[in-house]
Amino acid sequence: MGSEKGGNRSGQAIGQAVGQAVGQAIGQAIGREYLFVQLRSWLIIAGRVSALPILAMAFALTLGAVVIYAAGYSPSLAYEAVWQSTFGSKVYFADTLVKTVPLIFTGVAVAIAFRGSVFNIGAEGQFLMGALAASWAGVALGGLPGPLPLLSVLLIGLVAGGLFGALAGFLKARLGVSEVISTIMLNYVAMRLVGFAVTGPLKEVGGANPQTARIAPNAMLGIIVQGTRLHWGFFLALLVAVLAYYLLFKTTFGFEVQAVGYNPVAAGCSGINISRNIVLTMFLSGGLAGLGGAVELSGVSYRLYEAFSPGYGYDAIAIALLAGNNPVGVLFTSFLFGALRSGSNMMQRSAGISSVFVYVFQALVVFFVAAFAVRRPAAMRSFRARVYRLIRRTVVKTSASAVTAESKSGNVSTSGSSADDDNHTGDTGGGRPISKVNASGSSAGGCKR
Amino acid sequence: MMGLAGLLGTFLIPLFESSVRLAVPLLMAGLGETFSEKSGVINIGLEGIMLTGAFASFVVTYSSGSPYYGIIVAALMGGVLGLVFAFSTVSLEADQIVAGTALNMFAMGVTGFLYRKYYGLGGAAATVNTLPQLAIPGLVDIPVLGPVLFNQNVVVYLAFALVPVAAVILKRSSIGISLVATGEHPKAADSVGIDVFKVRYATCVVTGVLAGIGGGFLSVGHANTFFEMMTAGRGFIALAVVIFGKWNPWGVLGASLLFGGANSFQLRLQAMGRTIPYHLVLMIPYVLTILAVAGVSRRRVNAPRYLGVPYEKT
Repeated sequence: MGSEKGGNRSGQAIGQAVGQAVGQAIGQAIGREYLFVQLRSWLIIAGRVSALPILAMAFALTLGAVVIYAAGYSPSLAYEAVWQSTFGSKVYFADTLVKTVPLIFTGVAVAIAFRGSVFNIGAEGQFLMGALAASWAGVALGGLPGPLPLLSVLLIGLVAGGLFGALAGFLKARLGVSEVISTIMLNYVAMRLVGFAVTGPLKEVGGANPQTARIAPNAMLGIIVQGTRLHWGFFLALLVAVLAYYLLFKTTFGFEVQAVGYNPVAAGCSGINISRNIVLTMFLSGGLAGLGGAVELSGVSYRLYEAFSPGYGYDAIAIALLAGNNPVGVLFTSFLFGALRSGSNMMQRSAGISSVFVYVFQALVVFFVAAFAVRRPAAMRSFRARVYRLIRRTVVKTSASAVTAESKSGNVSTSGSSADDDNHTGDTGGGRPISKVNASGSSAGGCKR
Repeated sequence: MMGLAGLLGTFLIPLFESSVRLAVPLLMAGLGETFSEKSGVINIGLEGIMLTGAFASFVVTYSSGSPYYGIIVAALMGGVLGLVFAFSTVSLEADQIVAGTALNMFAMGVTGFLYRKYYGLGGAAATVNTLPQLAIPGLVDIPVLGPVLFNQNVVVYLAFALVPVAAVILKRSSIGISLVATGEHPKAADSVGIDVFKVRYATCVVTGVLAGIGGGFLSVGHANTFFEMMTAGRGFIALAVVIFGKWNPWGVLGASLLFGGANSFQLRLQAMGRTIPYHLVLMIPYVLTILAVAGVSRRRVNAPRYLGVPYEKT
């Protein structure tokens, strides 16, 4: 995504400073200085990666509370409801995880596309197409032996979503159609197709409601913990996120996706086929969203109906952006939104706030991520420098000791003091591929050999 | 002969008349978007601004009884959202696509939230007065054209009158020249004394106002009520209208009439009977949008060069 090309340097530096301070404190507390070195480098990475999302979340939660209060409701009651419905009991917690699963799929899908600078806002449509194809396969191929029905349901869902995504990719690569327009339009097309299918060709024979027949038991994903709705799709989602991370950051294909995203001209010059890459990125992105639809169908609903997705594909945009388009980060942010989703029902019951409020909250998150990820806007430059200096002073100095004085604190202060005049800083140790790519910015650095 | 007259009276005239009406929201938003895209700002948030306009005019008309107040407030709300969008994309230099998406989500959430709070879930939808039709004396008696064009409400006239005005402003005025310069090469514009920030702020607000009116028209001009997600992708279709119309007000007019016509045709098809599944009929406007944009996108002759790129003053 273009928005985070510049990266949020001062935010990352704050996170880095906090990570360092915490690592140092723990290392000294247990009296093993050598442990502290490793711990500190991990914590620095964690701090840098999570600073922006945490900051954005904090702002969104605060402003969200203000909006709730202004609308005449109780913010504390609302947030308590979300907390209760997330961690209140085993069943609630499992339910939150169930809501998280489709969000992980769509979130990772969107993150991959965003990494390639393809603004895929069509995860909703791809999710639905995956579910549509899966609902057909689950019934029609239900008679196959063994685990074949389940496998074919998942595979067909993946391919259907992938092709639907690749269609938008093709339109962009070959005909220059903006993917923002095409994917949104395709979302509406997918919604109508589902509506058509559940009232027409796929409607349950003899059924009264507009929905498809229940898929064969062989095509269902099993329940992990009895008494809850948590199904094996949860582990599939975890696996997909980790694989996507590996694919994006450790393989040539992932490198090419990101290279095309950051600078198509340079990528083209270095021999990457841009059209092919865009179509493939969209196939992968759509495929994961479609797989999410298939998993939701075979793990939770077992059948397709018109309101199958309450907007999982739209949530995915906020989820991916908040995670910095990092598939592993998506695991955390989608849990957050899963909690919001499951909490919104309880919020409606106990605090009286309608569930569409989730969208207000999402908008705030997206807005703050976009606003914070900005590369040194003139208006904010001096302000952020001041805030950073303040935090550096309090955080670093309170924990300053002889151990760090000579080694890494020098690093922090350089990246800190230069946060307002140079955006190629902050990429000290760690060697994280994310920050590396970020730091290379929009220059041709991604393609240099 | 009788058949043709009958077809004209019962099918074609109502079809054209509703095509013109359905083109208006697209035309309003499309004209606004032409201004802001010409100055280099792409506003994906049209959908959200229109939705907010539709809701605002519904609420005001519901409580005041006058749809004219409704339209005015819709324009104001649109302007405010345009200002917020300008602040985030021009001053804060946020990614325009991301900020627009946030705007859409926000509008979807807030209108849904407030609608459910004050007008309840389910039950009979609240209805409001609509903008009265103002027949233009003399012109309305022209056969076919008269009832189609000259028996409409004030927003329809406004939208059509804005087309030549926008064309003149963009092509023949100094304001238009500095606006286009801002989108083509902001740095060069800046060097000759054009305030890039000011121009972009202005076009964003104009876009907001026009899209707000376009949205307001949906709830108090076209329909007489509001429902959640009422805009149904029209903001995005308006983006397509701008591309299809090649960033030219007259082209935008033609494109909106085309899409309005497709929508109106689709509604007629639905009303005609159950031989064609209505879900598939509903798809027509969206498929047409993709096809239309696919047809012209390859030669983006008129696209502003710095579209979507924030300007950093050095």
